[in-house]
Amino acid sequence: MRIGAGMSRISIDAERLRAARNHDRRCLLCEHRCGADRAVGQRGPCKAGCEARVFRHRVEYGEELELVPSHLFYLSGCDLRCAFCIAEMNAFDPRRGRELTPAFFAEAVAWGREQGARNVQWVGGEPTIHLPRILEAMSGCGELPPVIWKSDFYGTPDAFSLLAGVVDVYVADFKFGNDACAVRIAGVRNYVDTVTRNLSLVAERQDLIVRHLLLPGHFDCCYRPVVAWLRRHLRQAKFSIRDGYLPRWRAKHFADLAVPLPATAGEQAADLAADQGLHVIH
Amino acid sequence: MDAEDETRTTEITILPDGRICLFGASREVLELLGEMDLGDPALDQRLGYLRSLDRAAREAAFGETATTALEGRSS
Repeated sequence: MRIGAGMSRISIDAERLRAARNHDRRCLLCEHRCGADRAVGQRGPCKAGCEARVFRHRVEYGEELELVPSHLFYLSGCDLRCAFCIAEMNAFDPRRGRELTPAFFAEAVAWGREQGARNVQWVGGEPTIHLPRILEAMSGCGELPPVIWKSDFYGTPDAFSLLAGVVDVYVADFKFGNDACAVRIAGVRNYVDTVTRNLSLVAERQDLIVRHLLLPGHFDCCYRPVVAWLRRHLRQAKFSIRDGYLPRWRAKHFADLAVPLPATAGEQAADLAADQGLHVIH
Repeated sequence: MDAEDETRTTEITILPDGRICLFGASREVLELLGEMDLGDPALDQRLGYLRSLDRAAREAAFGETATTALEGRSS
């Protein structure tokens, strides 16, 4: 892991860029597998075109301790439609923000380093749907600090193969413990199989932090299954329990999500994770 | 269409029961909350960690300065 390290040369060769750009013409970056020809204006469920846009970038201190200070690049557009998304419309409208170009990215990274950032972190929305532009942006930098990829992990194996050797740490949002909640709240099918497949894939080759945002009323249907899966398959993975849920975006339309998290939920979740022998980080 | 520029913004939400939720926490906001002595072990741990990073950076910088000075003396 390069976390804590300084700048190092990043290698993204022409073949990788070519393979990534193929998805502009037939997008198979996420498990919607829509096949949209984004270059001619077709749009899939994420609505993204060939541009990636940054709606916010800033150096943050609220991430897991081993990541801070982290320079987060928030890209608009997402393949999920989580009703509680804290980024709200910025996450779902890929026309928002300024265009991600190699020149902008290089300048922003230099600014982040001046502010003390130890790494750059791609977040969204969902960065996976913008992989071609992200690789282009990074390839324009001779050197970069460690690269963090924070994702919903709904990408295809092809998408993850494009990131191999480029990303230093994956931060995976394991949001739902069953497919019914994923369909109802985020509008995605086959969620658990997809995310767990990708977690297993990545854990073999790279440092991984698995995050779970506790949702009100979803302790038994979502949190417990997530913990059980990790216990069985990835017990040594770093597990980060997030208890800062707020009923934002369209959460008010869901009776279970329209309220804040109970004050005791975080402690209850931490107790269960400890009881199951998970490697909890803060 | 441009997004609102939130590059220099930290969102603070205070729930009715007094819990404080931060989104996009800056160092300055964490220090401010630390000054308020909220009795939050997670916040105290985070600030302690950040200060340890500061110390390590200062020591590394001092080490480089000292090494450069010694090199200059021996040449």
